[in-house]
Amino acid sequence: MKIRTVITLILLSLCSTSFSQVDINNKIMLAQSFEQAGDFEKAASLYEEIYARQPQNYQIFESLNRVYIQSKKYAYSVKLIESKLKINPKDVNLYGMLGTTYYMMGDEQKAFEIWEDGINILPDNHMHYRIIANYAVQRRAFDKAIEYYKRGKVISQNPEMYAYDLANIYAITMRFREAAEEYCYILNIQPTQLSNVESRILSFTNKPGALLEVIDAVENWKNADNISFDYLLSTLYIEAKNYNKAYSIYSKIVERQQNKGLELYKYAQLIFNEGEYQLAAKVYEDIYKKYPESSYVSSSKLGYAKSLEAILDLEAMRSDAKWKPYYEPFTFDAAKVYEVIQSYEELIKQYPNSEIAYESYLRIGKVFFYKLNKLADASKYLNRLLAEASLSRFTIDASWELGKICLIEGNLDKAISNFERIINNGRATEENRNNARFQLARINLFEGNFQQAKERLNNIISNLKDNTANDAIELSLLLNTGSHDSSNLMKFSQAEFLIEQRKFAEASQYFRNISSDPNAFILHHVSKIREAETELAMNHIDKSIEILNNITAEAEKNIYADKALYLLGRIYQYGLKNYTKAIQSYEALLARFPNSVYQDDSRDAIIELRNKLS
Amino acid sequence: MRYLNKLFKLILITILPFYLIIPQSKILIYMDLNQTDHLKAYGVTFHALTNGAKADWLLNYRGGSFMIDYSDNVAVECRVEGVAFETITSSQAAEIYSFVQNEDNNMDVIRLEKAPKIAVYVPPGFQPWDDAVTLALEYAKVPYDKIWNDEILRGDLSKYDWLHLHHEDFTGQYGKFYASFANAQWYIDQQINYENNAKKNGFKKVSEMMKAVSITIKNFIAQGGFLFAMCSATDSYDISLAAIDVDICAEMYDGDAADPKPQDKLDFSSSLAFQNFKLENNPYVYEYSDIDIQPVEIGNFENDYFTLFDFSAKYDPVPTMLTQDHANVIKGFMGQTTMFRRELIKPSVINLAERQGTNQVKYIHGNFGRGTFTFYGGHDPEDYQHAVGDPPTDLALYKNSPGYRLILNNILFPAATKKKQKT
Repeated sequence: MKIRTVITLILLSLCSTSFSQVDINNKIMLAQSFEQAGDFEKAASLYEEIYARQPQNYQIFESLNRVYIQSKKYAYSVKLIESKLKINPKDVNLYGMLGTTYYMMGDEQKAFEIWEDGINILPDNHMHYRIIANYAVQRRAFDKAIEYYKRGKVISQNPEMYAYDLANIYAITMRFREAAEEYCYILNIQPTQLSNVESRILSFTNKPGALLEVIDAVENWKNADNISFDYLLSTLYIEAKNYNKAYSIYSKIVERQQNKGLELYKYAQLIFNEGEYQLAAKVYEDIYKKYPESSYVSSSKLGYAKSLEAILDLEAMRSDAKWKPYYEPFTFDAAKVYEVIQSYEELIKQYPNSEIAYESYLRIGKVFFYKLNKLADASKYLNRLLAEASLSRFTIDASWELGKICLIEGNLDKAISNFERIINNGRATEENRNNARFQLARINLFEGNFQQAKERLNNIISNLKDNTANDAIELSLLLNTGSHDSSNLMKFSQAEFLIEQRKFAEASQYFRNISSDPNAFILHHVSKIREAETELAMNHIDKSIEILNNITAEAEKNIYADKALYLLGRIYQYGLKNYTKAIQSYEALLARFPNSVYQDDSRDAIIELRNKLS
Repeated sequence: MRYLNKLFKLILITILPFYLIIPQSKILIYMDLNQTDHLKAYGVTFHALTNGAKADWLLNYRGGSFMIDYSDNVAVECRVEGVAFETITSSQAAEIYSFVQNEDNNMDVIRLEKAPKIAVYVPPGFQPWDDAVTLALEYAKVPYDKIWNDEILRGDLSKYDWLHLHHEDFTGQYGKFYASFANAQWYIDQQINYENNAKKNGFKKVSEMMKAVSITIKNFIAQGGFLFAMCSATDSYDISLAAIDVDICAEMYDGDAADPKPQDKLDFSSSLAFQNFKLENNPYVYEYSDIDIQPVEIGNFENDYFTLFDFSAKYDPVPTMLTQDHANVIKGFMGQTTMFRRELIKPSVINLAERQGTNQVKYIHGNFGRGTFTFYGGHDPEDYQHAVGDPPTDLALYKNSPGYRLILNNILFPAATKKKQKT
């Protein structure tokens, strides 16, 4: 009987406890619901009730404190945390929370004192600094957090952990130099952290002033025994586009790493793509001279030759007369050009029957063509490429260049076969093919075969998205309108052919003849402007201006009057550098031809010239 | 000799009156559908005013045209900027004036006298969004100064006639981007930037500084300034004024909790344009209040057009100026604040444009003290949904944008000579 009674009592007690726990759980859920709904008063009341029954429940304690803070009952929060502190006086988190409450109350001084007390429970425990610093960070008291991290770093056995914290907080607060100092500190202790440090630093170097501050800091930390600093600095110099400094560092890295120029080759490619050709040439040269056994020698030699060629192109671009509709080929320094050719020749010798050799043939051909105007030499190399490597990807370009050379030489049949080779080449793009078709149409024009020219042009025009379509339309219009005057059209096509052959004086004469024929209708207008353009090609600027002024005077009677004014503006702008007169020409164009296609360009030119004058 | 004297007098009597009475020829920058670049037309007129010329705004005449005394400089500028114009004789000009001022026509002439000094409120550094007004001013080549909290708090607003606010959040909640962008670098930088700025200006919290900024701007309007706000600067500015005495910022925005019952403490008498709105208290929801119209209420974007109201040019010149356009039904565009709920707009505020048949108002205008405020909902009139990080709109592709024109109406409106009201 006694046993039965005892068991019954135990069961009843267990049930009661269980029911009590269910009740608490329900109340917790209810309190959470009130909290989420923003009814902090009801939530606080429930949490208080539960906390009174389960004062050891840390989760409820935190929830109650949170609700007090949400409802701005800071005094309650303080009282709650202090009561907890009496029970757990060594709980550093409670100090963090108490300090937080004071901070939110606006009593920063008291908050700092409480946080300091928290640290002083165990001043030799570096983790306390980190915990309290986290509370400070949450309050965005960054200066205080930095102070705690610094103190923690001093006593910690793992100072780089604090250095990361510090660097992160410095970067957030835009103290970039100090952030860089911390990252350098890490790199100094652990060079293997390079990639991590580098990516973190690069995440903020795009901010105003950051890059220079970081470079300065890293330069000061540079350590001859620690190659990670060299890697980091070279990356930073590249970011700052200080390629020479980056190069000197890369050279040292390569010497120390003995990786046969890999780093240098990557660097050379990078600066070549950035347009730093002089330096790229130097770096490529360094690779194949200093590391003749390197697997990058062939690529470096090709890179070197391309860099030299690009330097020449850059010179030509700076002084070129490309503003003119037609112009004589630019005169290059022959010695420099032959240096480029020599570089490519060596590649052909060293790597025969390779894509490097085929590319070198093409490059030499183009150099002879465009830089020395030696058409026979150019043809020799280009033909050699076609003969030796008919399947090479460079044959399309070679055929194109050969076609252009044949046009200049007046060998239309050969020109046709070269352009047709492009059309039939399986590797040619549609753009390649349409370019070739357009050239064939022009050849038809030169030959006087206007009907076939029109048919070819119509094929191109059927795809208006093609880049050649505009040129095709223009030529097609000329053919259609000029077809009623076939004798003048014939003369005109011959003059155009002469322009192609750079025989500007003869072309000019032809155009003069056509323009003096009042019955030439539209060809009369075109020929006049062409005459001015060919005179300009021969640098007969006064003559050109005179013709253009005549066209301009014809006003609406000449459909190219707006173009003439535009060209006058270009002559004054680029040829004579008389910006005032250039502006006048452009302004006259805007005033007299409001629907001209040259309006936008003229406006841009006026704005540019006004800026120059001011 | 006597004969010569007589002749001289005769010439003087014959010619002089022409110079004294008959004005010189004029440049008419028409603003109807024939205009080639509506946006730059404002810039040309603005520059003419800057250079001392007088211009007339012909309200409702050919899309709200501008008439400027002829000068070679103005003509050249029109041509260089691609602005279509006509050179008209003085008698043609007189005819136009007479036509415009005829009582039978809903048109009027407004004399523009002095180019206003323009300030645009913009935080320093990178912004992950663009400002339609800045884009329009840059495109039209209208000069302006960038100012921020430092300038406003030290009283620099008195140097300006016109102030523009765009996407900034005057409630101190950083645009309520927290839920989506709390970890984005630009958001982190922005918060630090504002916090440092608040500290520099002697405020413990950004929200407190923003309240001070809002009050200073309100004083600027009261003293005769012109405020033009777009996108979220409209409602966030007005909310900040209504919430001057209450903390509406959650912990992640200002470091402490928001007032548990902020709604009850709003003072709608302090706000300029809106009243009785309900705050969105959830800090994770990308919305300040119920002022803004939600995308779901707009529905299919293809049907999103707003209509400009027609005002009497002679009796209501100000709203007429603000609504000058070559189109009166304009494609809508979204923003953090897209449109305003009509029932929450104060009765004293004028609706300039709305989606017909709905309670969605796009463009409003009101007076406060000696100045005025104009709010235009949406972010970019030529980019329906301009997302954070999207590239800026190239206005060279939208030279005739009617939506952008409404912005530029606002910069010339302060140049107008105040007329006596007819009623």
